[in-house]
Amino acid sequence: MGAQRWLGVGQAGGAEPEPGARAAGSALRHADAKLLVVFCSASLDLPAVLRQVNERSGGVPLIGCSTSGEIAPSGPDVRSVVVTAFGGDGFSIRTAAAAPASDDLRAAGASVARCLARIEERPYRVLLLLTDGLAGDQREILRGVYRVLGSGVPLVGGCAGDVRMAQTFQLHGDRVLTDSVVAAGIGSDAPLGIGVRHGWRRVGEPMLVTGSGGNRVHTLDGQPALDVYLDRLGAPAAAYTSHEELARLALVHPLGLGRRAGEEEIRFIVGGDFGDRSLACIAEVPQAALVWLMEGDVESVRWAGGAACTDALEALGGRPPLGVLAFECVGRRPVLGEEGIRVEIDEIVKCCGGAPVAGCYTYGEIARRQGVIGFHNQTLVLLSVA
Amino acid sequence: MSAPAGWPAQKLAEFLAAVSSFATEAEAAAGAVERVAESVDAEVVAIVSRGTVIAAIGYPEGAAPVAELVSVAGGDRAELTVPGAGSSPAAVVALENPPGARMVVARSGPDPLSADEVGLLHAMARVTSMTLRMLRFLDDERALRKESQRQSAENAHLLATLTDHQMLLERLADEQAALRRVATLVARQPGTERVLASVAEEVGRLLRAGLTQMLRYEGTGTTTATAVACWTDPEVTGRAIVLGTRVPLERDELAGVVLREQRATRMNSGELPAGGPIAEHVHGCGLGSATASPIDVEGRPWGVVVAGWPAPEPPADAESRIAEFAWLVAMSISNAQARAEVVRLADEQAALRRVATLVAKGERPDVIFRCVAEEIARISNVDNGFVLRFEPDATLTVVARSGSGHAPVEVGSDWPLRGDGIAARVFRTGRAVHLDSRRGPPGWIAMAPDADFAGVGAPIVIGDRLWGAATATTGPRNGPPPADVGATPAGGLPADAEERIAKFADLIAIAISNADARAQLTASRARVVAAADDARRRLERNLHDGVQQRLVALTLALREVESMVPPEPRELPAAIGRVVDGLTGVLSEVREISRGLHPAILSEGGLAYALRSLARRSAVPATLNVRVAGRLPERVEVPAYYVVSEALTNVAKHAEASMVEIDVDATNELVRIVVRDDGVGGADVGRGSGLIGLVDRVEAAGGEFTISSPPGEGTSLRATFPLSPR
Repeated sequence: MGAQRWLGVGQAGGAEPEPGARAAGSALRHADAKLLVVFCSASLDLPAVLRQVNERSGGVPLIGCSTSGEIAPSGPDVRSVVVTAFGGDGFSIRTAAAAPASDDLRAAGASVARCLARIEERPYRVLLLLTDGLAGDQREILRGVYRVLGSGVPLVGGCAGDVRMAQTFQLHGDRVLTDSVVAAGIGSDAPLGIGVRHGWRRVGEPMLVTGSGGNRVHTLDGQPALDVYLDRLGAPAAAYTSHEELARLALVHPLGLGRRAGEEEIRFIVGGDFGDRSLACIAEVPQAALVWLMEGDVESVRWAGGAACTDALEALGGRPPLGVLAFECVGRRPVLGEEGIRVEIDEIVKCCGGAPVAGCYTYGEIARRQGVIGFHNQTLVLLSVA
Repeated sequence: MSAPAGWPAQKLAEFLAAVSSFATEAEAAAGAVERVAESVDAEVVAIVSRGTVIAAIGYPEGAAPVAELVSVAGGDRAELTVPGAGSSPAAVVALENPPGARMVVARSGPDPLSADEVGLLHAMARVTSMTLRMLRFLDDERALRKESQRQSAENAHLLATLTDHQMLLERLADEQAALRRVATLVARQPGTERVLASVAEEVGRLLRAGLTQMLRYEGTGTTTATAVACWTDPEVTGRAIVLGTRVPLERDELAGVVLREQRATRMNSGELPAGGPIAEHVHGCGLGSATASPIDVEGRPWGVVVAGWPAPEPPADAESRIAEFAWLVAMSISNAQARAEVVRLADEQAALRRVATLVAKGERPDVIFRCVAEEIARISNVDNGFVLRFEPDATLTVVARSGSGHAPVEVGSDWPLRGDGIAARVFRTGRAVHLDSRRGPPGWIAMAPDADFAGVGAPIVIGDRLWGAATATTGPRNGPPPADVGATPAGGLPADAEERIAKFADLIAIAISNADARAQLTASRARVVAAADDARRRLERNLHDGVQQRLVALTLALREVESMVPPEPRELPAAIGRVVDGLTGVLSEVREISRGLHPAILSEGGLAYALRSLARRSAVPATLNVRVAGRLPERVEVPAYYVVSEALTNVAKHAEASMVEIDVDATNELVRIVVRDDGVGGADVGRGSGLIGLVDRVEAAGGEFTISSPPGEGTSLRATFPLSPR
């Protein structure tokens, strides 16, 4: 089954000395590492951690990002470094970075996508993308990628996180970037599976987005979006004027963009404008889109973890996974609660048969198997590696 | 799911808005396939027309399968390979535009497009057609407009070019007119100054300069230039550098660069303020930029034209335009130089010839000194010429001077050879000296204390002895030199002044050594003549006191014997008588010889008395006219007597003359003797007659002897003697 491949995951707490070196040391199980994927808490000294990792690895190609929390086989964490190493001759890897991305998001996407054209031909390929979710409409990045790669290459990844949604960082080689897109083109002799699940359910009839601009939805079905949203929910009067009340409702009632197959693309509502009665979402809601009011609970959302894992592993055609990369929306944590996210990851690990899981909490998730675009919110995206 | 009723319309409106926002047909086609793909979530969408793929999405960049797409679009196949998903059902929708175009849509998965989606697809295809058509029109129109704009731009460019050409022609005409004016002027061969002034003005006006300035280098290897022409625009506040001002160019980055590198140069407003004297002067005139262009005359750097402009940069082609004028200047200078050189050489030669003639004529040195002093004073800008003799006690004697008299120096006065003056320098170095500016404590010439003057001096060397010096000075130039350009003042001496003075000095040396030689010769002749005269006088005295007296005594004794002689034999008295007669004859002859040796009669009776005796005894009848009162000096009387004596002897021996005239007269300074006969002529000093001895004798006495003796016209001897010894 092709040349040898391996995948190692290492984690080190931010309080430990040289956490980068320790995490890298654990991940680098063999000498022939091809790619390191680093998820590092935004609260740590990123340049120092990156230096430690590179010193330990001797300059193995690297991409990574800052996080709003890290996922490791031991469970979720919030002040740690998680390093995943892809190794063995069964992998071909190229990495790329484009910064600043916000000048031309499409061009940035197209630029990093071209790294895949230069890797050794392998039967299975994926483009792993880590982006700055604060740089603008992420779908533009993905359009740029799609223009270059077409539908033949699955996309997976997420938007870097931080502590208070102010500035996120992307890592490439020995550089700490912001407002950028970093990518690793991965070619493999064995399948690479993607699982995408959120566990939210549609409520009622779809609404037509009659007025939107960027991340803000002005009108739904021709009416002020905030009022339509609250009316549909039958919200208490306080929610019409109180940010707290609105936030409490929004946490469990995102919007869902309709798709022809699979689950909806979720748009988490981060707030409303009580003046112009508009809704602010975590990502762009295109005009003329059909959106559903979504609902969910701990059970349904946690169920998504298992479902995504099953989807991802099915794509491996029965081969045991070497490991799984997880990109989970930071917005799922308040829904699931601290215990909930721990259980969710335990289930993923269990589902993988003990293969290591590494990942991070993100400000947006990327997964495209079918169709075009593939940008998600409030979603769990898994990449299984056989 | 049931979509709201307005969904397709809304979707279409969004599609329309998105697609029509593209600027070009190609962008709109690419945008349309992308939006269609997103609208129906289809991985592959392509627009195919007449066998080519106009736009496609879903394939790797640049790798759309044209044949497969064309085949599907043409209805030959119903399925299309979706990359990463395999063969999938394809929908084909016709586009009205481009003609015959089809939109091919394929999406993975088992679900075919819904009726809503197909309807939407048709609508979007229609929108796409309309948009592409519109954009094609717009593209065409844009292309037309672009072409039209291009043509207008070209026309405008042509117009501008024509205008430029027109302006260029006008400019050229102006330039040609200016050049012609200068050329005409040059052809008329006016003074160089006029040409320079004309060019300075023409260049200034033509190039709209604020100031033009022409500077002339002072010679090969020089670092100094003299302002020779200038022009300023009336609106320029500053003044040009005063003509004649000398400007050092060592530190100059404008004219200095031209001198050092033999090329034109320019300076902008930022460079002028610290660009050396000329640049700073231009800056000081309130101007912003400048150029400097070389003037080469006969391949050698002659000078520089500096032009200044109010603008911060000079006109782009200023240097090349100035070059045309510089060429005319060069031609004019070259002509003028050739003429001036000829004139100067002629003047110089004439001056030298005048002095040389005097020298050759053996004119007295004091005359030559005076003449040299005068010739020196004719050199341009020279105010005073001096001939000075260095004395053994380190003083100098002024032996000749000429000039305007600014220097209160008398001929014959003595001055100490001290200080740093021109004469003192020549005295110290034995070499020629050229001082551009002499100032400070006065040397031997008591100039005004503040006066500044230039001077040159050349040594007079006789053999290996420094005899003295010939010097020249300019008139005093009062007041400080112009300070603005750090220059030395105008009115200096020509660069070759010392050379010219040196030639005069050489002539003086020759004159002095000739005079010395002549004096020595005269003295030597006089000594020879005196010794001969002395010997003659001794012989005459010996004859007179010895032989003559004894002959007289013998004659007297014989007379006594004659009276006592007996009658018999009868022949005895007669014989004694014959002996007495013979003795008397011998005595007479001895007397005559004695008189020829040294005419005692001359010593005793003077020239007139002695000449009368000679005339009386002349074999050819002689007329004597003596207009001399009293006695003349013996050194004149003796040779004068011999001239007449020898002349009469020659007349008797060779002239076959019937008469001879003797004229003697004496003026204040000169005694003149002329002996003229009416004989056959043809006498020649060189032909061994006694004439050669006469020449020696006359010249030994400081006199002159000439003879005129054309054959058949008699002979005329002429001797003159100076009365006072030289």
